[in-house]
Amino acid sequence: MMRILSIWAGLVKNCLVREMMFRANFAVILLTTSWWFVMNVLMFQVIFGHVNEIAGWSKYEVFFLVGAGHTIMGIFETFFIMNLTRVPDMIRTGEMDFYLLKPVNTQFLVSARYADFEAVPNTLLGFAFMGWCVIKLRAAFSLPALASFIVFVLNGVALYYAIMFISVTLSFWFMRFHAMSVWWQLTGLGRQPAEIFPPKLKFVLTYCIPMLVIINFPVKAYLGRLPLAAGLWGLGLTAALLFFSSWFFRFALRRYRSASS
Amino acid sequence: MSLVPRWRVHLKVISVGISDALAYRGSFLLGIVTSLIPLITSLLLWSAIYRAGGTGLVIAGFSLNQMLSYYLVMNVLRLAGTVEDAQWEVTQQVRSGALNNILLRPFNYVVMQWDLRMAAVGVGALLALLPAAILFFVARSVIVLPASGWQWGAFAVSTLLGIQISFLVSICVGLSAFWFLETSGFLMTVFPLQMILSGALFPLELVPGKLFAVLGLLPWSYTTYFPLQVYLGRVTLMQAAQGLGMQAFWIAALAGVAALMWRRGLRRYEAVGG
Repeated sequence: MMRILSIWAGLVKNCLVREMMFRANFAVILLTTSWWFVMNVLMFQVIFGHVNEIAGWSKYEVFFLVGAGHTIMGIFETFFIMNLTRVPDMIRTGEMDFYLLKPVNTQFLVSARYADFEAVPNTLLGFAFMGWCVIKLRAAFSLPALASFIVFVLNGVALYYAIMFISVTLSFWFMRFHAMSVWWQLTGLGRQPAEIFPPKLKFVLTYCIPMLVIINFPVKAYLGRLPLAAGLWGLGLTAALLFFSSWFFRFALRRYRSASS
Repeated sequence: MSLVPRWRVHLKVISVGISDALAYRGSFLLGIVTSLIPLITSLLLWSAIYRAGGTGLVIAGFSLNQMLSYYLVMNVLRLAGTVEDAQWEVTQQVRSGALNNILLRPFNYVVMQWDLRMAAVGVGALLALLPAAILFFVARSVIVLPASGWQWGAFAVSTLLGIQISFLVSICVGLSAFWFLETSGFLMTVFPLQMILSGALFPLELVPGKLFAVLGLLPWSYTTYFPLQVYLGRVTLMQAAQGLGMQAFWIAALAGVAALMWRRGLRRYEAVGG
């Protein structure tokens, strides 16, 4: 595990050095990619000009949720999205060979080879925004709340990773696979306050298509509104799907034909 | 005088646009699926907001059913008309020098873009008919329909004019590539802003009064927001006529700007890669 982490640190550093060659882009990237976030906040700002709460969520609680969604997706984009979108091509062109040859866990290398720093300014913005929301909420700051928040943020990233990885692994069978864009759209549901959904849909989004676990759970954990059973479900589900993704990838590799090599 | 009658050139370009649009029917289907998710999200969000305030709640003059209809009808309109693609394509053709080939053709580039987009909108409208019918049927208990005939008529006309405004704005944004080499960042910034200004995220009345007065004058509000106002019966006959007049004004003004930009831009054009 320590070895994997140190290799990962090396890979990230390698990408950062390459990125720094085009430093001027950094500010431009922040300006251009944070727009959807700004729009989202603006929309809720406008709505809260007319109402005091949405399904039991106050204005700054909703803002906190928007910030959390932005941050969690930002972390995921930074470390994984660039790699996962390449997997179908790696299978098609036989580039996967190079990954199989390296003396390190293939799933790890396939998932984490490249880091994409375009999402970093955005992620930091998300963190700063959440901090501001917490101040505005006047919630008593407590270390356990912060700790459980961080645990569920990481859990959300890991869960989303597991779902996406299983999806791209399917491209060993289906070459043209649009699952990623559909999943990305589905995260839009997770970014909403969970209580806006009718009970049945909320159940589905917690237990079947667990978008609420990814983005709602961290905020609820911080606000002390996450029932223990639900929290345990979220952690257990992530662990189970990570294990499954690993088994499924190895199973799928047996189908790999190493085309054009 | 050219050898081929002008109308036949138009027909040819339009038929190219139609087959182009039909070639991507697969992505059209995917588009329907992916656009349904944000739609459902907005509907549920607004239902929850109104639920908290009691059934009779009115927000900025909107009843719950009006608000839900706003999003439903807008979504149907957006399924058919995505003329905003023009801004990406024009930019790309100017920057890559692909425009060179097109300049050699004896046909105005902007007019050609118009033919292509309108063909795509026509095909899109036909393809959207069935999903729209299903959507209206599923939502039949909440959907608001225009009360009188003139509203249907004014809605149809204002939608068509709104598409022209969208197209012209996109052309102007796209043609700005003559002046700015690196425009992808600019486009990514402008696009969400255009969405808000057109009322695609929320009805414009929700913003504070003074800001609303300004937004109501800008061309974007006449692309989506105004036709929906007509549809929902939130404007009188007189106001509808005024709005249609404003649409005509913006079409004339933007067409003038686009023509000017095209002439000035061509002089600067360096035909990169040509």
